[in-house]
Amino acid sequence: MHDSRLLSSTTLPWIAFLAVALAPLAMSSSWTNMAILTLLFVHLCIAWNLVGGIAGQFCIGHSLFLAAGAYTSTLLSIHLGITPWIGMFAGAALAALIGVFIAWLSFRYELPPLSFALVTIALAMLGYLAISSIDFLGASRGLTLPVRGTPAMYQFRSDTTYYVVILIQVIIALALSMWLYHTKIGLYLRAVRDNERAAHAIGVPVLKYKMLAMAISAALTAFGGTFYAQYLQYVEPHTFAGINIVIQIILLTVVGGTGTVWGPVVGPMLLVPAGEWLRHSLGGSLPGVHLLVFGVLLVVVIRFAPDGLIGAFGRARQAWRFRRGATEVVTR
Amino acid sequence: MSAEVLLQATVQGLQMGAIYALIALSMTLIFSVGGLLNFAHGDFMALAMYGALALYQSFALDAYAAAPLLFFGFFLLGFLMFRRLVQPVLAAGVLAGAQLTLGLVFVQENFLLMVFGGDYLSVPTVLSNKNLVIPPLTMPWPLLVGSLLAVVLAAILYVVLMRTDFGRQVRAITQNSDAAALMGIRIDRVQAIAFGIGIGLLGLTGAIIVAQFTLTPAMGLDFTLIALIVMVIGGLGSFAGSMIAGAIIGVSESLGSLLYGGTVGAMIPYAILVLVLLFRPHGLMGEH
Repeated sequence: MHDSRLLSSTTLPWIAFLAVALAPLAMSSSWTNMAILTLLFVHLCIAWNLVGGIAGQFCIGHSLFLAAGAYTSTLLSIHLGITPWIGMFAGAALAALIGVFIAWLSFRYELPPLSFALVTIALAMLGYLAISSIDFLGASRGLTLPVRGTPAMYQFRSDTTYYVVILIQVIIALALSMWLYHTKIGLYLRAVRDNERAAHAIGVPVLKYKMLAMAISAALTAFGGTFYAQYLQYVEPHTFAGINIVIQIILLTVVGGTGTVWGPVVGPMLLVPAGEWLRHSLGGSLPGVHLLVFGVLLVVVIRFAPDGLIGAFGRARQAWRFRRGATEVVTR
Repeated sequence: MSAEVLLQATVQGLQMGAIYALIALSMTLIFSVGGLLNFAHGDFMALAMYGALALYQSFALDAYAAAPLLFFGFFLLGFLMFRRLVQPVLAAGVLAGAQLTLGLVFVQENFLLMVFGGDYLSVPTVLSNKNLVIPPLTMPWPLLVGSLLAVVLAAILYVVLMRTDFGRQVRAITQNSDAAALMGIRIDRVQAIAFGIGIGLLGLTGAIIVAQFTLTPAMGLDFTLIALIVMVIGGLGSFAGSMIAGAIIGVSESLGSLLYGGTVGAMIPYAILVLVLLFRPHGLMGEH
């Protein structure tokens, strides 16, 4: 009994995920770009969900961590010739430090609700404005990575290799998020989310665990930033440090289901391809129309399933079980 | 740098500050009755500004004449939107509500991009490009009139909240919504009207300051952020606080851009917000 439940709740989603995620490898290369973008967002959403979902702290500052990953690895590569394979750990370490610092700053006192969102959005805007004006960081023009063309320098001839890299990153992030969710750390974080005072009262070291969640989330986001920078071969503030990408990450996670393990996977996997498809089929007609349709789609999902598709799916399954149970009773 | 230039920048900053304060007050009104942090706040105002543009283009209606029209239109929009869209989501928690408004940012920005295109646009009004010169000051009429109207509107809002039954109901809900419900206040109705008034005020504000700004579809987010900053620095729900915070932000932004350039000027409000949240987390005039 226990084994079969474990199979359905843990193994089955993994099998489904891997089946979908491996499919682009068999498809024509024109799909690869979209598949890479999709998995990149899966990665970023999983990372954001650790803080924004599981720990329930509405962080809008993740552009800082994305930028830390992208800019650190790029600068190390340009100026010191250090491969981004090493640079990405430097970026992640920097992001984790920033994350811990922000968490410490914001959670020392008990602030009014949602002020964490305000602190982080303000810091994100400061970061964006700073990066766009500092010449060493390429200001608003951005930086282009030198062409070195070797896998040792994180540059590949075919997009398929980039896809494999981001797929491995996503699998690691997903395994980490799943492990965290079920261990003591995840339990503590969820306790903090559901009732911070109660968690504090029973002895959960709230500040420490919030800082830990920020560190892990920030480091993961930075790995995504390094990957994105290497894939595009350039960095610039609007893409890597702007508020827009954070809003996208948050919305995609919300549509999937915040605070669940599979929500941040389901959201981007459905909506990023949908968005790209809309751009393909509508983009030429009027500027912004595909994004408008996309936005309306997001709003409709949030309106009818505020807990996301995972939550809606769970409710539907429960209702179905209930109905089946009821019919069984009747037929008996 | 001469004292006249500094004085000029300070006056302009104060005038911008009055407008910021009004935008922040409508945000506070929405926040106080349901805990909704409206990230689409500035986008509603951008929508109103483009609305003024559309009315001018179609009927040659001046923005100042269109202001009452936009107020009622946006009141209805806000009221209906709250009933049909926001309230059901807000029932699932304030976080879901905030996330919904992030989705609305996306929708409104791209709606404007689709209908009006991405080019910079401006709306000609009776006051456009006219200046009031009181030596040594030169004040653009649109900014002067916009800021004066903003102060008047803020005063009206204050009187409504302090002296009318509706205002008492709003304040009761802000202080303790459960107790307010037990006293027979229809919370969902008051919330919807407050949201409608908040959005309606944005319609009005957009119309009276449109002559001062160049329109782009993405302009809303900047106003949202400024309003958030003013609301928090002033202390949630404090009228005087919002006015003072608006003045602080307006003047520091204006002087900062003058002395250190546009980027630093744009950074100052965020830096002030971070400092205030860290050292006076309940705002300058907020209650603990």
